[in-house]
Amino acid sequence: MEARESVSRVVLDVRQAGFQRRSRSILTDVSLQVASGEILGVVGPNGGGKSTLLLLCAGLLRPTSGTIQVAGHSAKETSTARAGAVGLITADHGVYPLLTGWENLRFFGRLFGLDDALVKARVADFVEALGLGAAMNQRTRTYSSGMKQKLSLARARMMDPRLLLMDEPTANLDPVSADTLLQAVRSEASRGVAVVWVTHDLLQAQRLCDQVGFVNGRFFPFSEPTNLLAQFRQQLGST
Amino acid sequence: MTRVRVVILREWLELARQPVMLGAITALFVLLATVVLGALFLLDWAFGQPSAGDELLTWFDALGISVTSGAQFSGTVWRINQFLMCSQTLGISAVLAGHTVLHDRQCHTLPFMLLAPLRRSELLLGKVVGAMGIPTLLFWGVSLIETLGFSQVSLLQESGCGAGSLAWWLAVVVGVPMWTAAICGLCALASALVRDVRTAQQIVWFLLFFATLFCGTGLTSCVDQGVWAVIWFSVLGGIAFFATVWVGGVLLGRDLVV
Repeated sequence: MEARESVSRVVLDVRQAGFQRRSRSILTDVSLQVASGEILGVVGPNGGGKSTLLLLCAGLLRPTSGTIQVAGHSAKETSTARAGAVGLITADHGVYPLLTGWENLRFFGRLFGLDDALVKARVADFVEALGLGAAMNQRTRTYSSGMKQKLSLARARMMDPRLLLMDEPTANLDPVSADTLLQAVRSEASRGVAVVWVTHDLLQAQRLCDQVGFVNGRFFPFSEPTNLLAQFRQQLGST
Repeated sequence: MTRVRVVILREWLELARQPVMLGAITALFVLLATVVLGALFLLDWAFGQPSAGDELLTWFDALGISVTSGAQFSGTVWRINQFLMCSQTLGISAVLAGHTVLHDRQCHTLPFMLLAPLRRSELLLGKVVGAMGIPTLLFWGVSLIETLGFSQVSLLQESGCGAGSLAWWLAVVVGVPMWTAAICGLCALASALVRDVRTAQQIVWFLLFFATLFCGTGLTSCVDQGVWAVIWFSVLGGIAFFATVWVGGVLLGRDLVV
């Protein structure tokens, strides 16, 4: 960890972060780092705080203790300072059903100050590669879950983020769409994007991630991203 | 302001793609204007006949309605029309505003919007203008058509009710939108703070009950009192609107996504 920090490749730096809601502690003393080009898998039981950890890293929740920095910006800074540094993908897609694919991208692009031409320039090839090109002028209510998820990935890529936060992005996808998404994420990581991948699929985590950690109120890094089921059981028994 | 405009335009685009909803809103305004104009023209015609006007007054008297002249009754019809037009604009906009942020929550787009460099007050402002834009345009359009019709009703001219006066135009162009914005601000704030559509709907209805009474009757009576009364009432609405947006910006923390 310290070696990564010394060469300034650390994109996400979480130090002793905690989060409480209505006097209930959801996360305590979480410390982790993700470097540029690295994929961190986050696994854990339901209600363990995985999604909360992602929202904290995205700056959408404020840690009640500790610090979280993304690309050098504190999570306590306003979203203006951090805008575009974080790309977020969730299992719920987050697209407007009455707008077309392009309209959705243009709307979010404009919110981030990107003009329409730049939006198109950044993702036109990408959406073609994902097989979405022909559907981009259709309203997204006609899209399948996989198509919406690909659009969500295109939106994240459009921001050209330093950190990609993904919350069970393959939850509703068929195997082919899931594999396309996995390849796209690998490609993003190879471009230097740091990725946090929250999943319940241990095999997927094993295939994709450089490091894996277990979250159940606290963060426990696994020694290596192999034999995840055994390590998962061990951690679940001890927490 | 650019980002506020982006939010507004997206709201309008989504509303514009719901023809049944737009049809229902338009039909209400058109129906109201048609009934009122029809009634006023009928009264104008009836009181223009040698005996029909007297018979109508006798009939009103028998019904327990205290009317001394056709002009007085036409003025009352016109005031009811103003109250209804104002309260419909307020109500339709408030219902839309009460669903704005909840719509983003239901579409799961809220976290993605909040990642953008968009202040909470800007989000509220965009949602409010987005919600009230189309109903207000319809209100203006129907009011303009009504004014043309009112100018042809001689009983209204005799009544001195203020139809087409400067005070009335100020109420239509500034007063109603200001108070609509203030109530929509509260409704949009409610839609951001609650997590359930039914709860939001009940809050909207609670607000509307008082808002329609206060704003509807307030604006109608201000027109009778003249230009300065309308200006003061409109300024009060504007202050209420900006106060709502400011307080909303403070109240809406980051926990909006949870």
